[in-house]
Order: sequence, then structure tokens, then C-alpha cells
Amino acid sequence: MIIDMHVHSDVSDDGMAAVETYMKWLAKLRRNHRIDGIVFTEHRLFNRDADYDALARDYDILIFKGTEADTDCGHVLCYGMNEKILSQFDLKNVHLSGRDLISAMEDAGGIGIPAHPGRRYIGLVEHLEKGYDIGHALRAAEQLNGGSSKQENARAQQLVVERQLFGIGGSDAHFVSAVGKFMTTFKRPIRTVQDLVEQLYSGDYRPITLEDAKIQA
Amino acid sequence: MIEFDQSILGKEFVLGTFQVTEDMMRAFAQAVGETCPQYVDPEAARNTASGGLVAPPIFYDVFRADQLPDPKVKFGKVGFNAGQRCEFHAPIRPGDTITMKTRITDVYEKTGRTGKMVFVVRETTYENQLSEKVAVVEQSQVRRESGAARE
Repeated sequence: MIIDMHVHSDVSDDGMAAVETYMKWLAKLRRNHRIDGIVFTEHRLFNRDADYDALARDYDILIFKGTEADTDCGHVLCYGMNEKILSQFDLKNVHLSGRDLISAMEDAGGIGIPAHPGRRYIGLVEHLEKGYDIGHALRAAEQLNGGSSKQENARAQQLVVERQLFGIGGSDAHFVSAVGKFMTTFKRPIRTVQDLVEQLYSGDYRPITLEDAKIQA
Repeated sequence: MIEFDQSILGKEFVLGTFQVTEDMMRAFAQAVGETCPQYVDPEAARNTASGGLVAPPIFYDVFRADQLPDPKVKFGKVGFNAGQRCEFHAPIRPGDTITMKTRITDVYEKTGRTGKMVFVVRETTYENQLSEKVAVVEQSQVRRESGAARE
């Protein structure tokens, strides 16, 4: 299964395209590339009321919802959001404790994964270098991020290796043509967001490029 | 927490009323290089779907307020336009009187790769003399610290 783990629709304040617009673009992209799913990780919110089931059926693709939270150790991608987490954390607050969020995500049956950890200000690496204590719940990091520079992704890669984390890939697309630049390939089938979370803990996955997902003629 | 004048949030301010003339529309079309007949040629425009001369959609941008409501955000010394979302509802025609109203809908902070930023979101509505909405524009203004202050 190949999934773009980090995409923003126009529900995010800086997102440029509607979910259906992404679907139309992906329909073309999928003629030559294997892409099985996409996760809309909107900035500082969980789009609880959005129902993408009909679009997922129409376009024969998995569509999951997540969140990209702003925390005191950078941005954190949250998969498997639920009422327990939403009652504990005000996602609009940009000063959330990253350590607490990642730990609470695990306790609540989800997973929190630092986004673009190699970036300044909003990446985990810089905060760790300044002595931030991330705790013991960290399992994975976004190793390849489509909006990061090569150097920023190299810092993310180093973090993954040094801390023996699992690495995911996501495009961080804010407009359709950026979707799929980096994705994550999973060894096992995924049908629900619970499957996705389970697989993210399993470690049976790796980040890939769009080129890696090309269907061989 | 961002410090700003919370009392201003959601309050509507009338920024002005403007008379639209054919000359203004022609000058605007010329300035942006518009050549479509419905925007520049009254004769030809009669035979188009608009039934007469209309202004290009972004014509609303010629209406300028002397002063915008200021939430007095206590952060940052650098500000710039962070984007606009426009909805166009009805055409603007010569002779229309357009009233411009605005309100601040949100003030929020976030952190990007250049550090902390504060966004001020304004929703401006343009209405004609029949109280019909002709356009609604949501504009975000971002404030951030200068490079030296961030370091």
C-alpha cells in the first residue's frame, strides 16, 4: 500500500485546493503511479465533520483524516484522532506540549509523528539540540517531506538513524501538483485509519519518492 | 498568547461608498490589459451574456479605504499580504454605487520555518445600491518579527 501521509486541503489556512480537486489530479497521476491513499493532515484542526467516503468510493482511493499540530517542539502529524484527544488538546493552541501530545496519542490509540523534523523552528531536531526532552513515546518521524529542502530532509534522516525511529514520507502538498512527491509504502494492507495506526507502530514501511511508485510498463 | 484588541473581532465597519463610472471601468481594463469586449466595448457588450458593459471581477480592488480597522496586534514589525480568497456574486456596472464593509474575522498565530507569525483575517463585502453582494474578499495579513529580532 502506498499512501501520501501529509497533505493539506483548503480546510487548512494555507491550503489551496479542495479535496475533490486533489482526487481529480490523483486520478491522472494514478494512471502511471501506484497511489492507494492520502491523508489530509490539516493545520491545527481535525476536520471532524468532513465525510470523504463518497469521494473515496468514486475515485477508488483511501482518504484518511489527520491533523498537523503546532507544538513546543515543532509540528506533529497526528493519525487516529479521536474524541479523547480532542477533549484533551486545544488544537488551535500553537504552544501544545509535543511530548505530551505524542504520548497522549499513543494512550488514545493513535500515533503522533514529528513533521519535517529537519526544519528550523518547526522541526524536532532543532528543539532536541536545544535540550528538549521528547520522552519515550516517539516511534517515528517524517523522514522525507515534500516541502523541505535536501538539507532539511538530510537532518530528518539523521534523526531517524540516530534515534532508531521508523521513517514516513509525505508530500506536505498545499496544492495539487505537489501531491505524491514523497509517500510511504506499507507492506501490509490498510483499509481503515486504525489499520494505518497499527501499521505505523509495526515499522513495516518506508518512505518513497513518486518515481519509486511509478508503474513499470 | 497574542495580545490584541479583542473588542474589534467580528465588528462591521463601513469603509466607504463609491460611484462607478464607465471611465473608471475603461481605465481599469486598460491598466490590467483586459481586451474582452464585455469589459471594454459597450456596443459589443450588449450582445454578450452580461447584456451590457460590466467590470472585470477584480475591479473591486479599485475601492480603497482611508483607514482599515486595526486590531493593534502587539507582535512583529514586518507585515505583508498573505493571500486573498475572492467570491464574485454579481457584476459591477457603470452607474452602480458600491458600499464597502469590512470586519476582522480572526486573529491567530502559528509557527513557520521563519518563526512565529500572527495572521489577521479580514472579510470585506462589496454591495451595490440594491443591497446585492457583488463580491466578498477574505484577506489575510501576516505579521512577523524582523530577521534580526528572530535571531
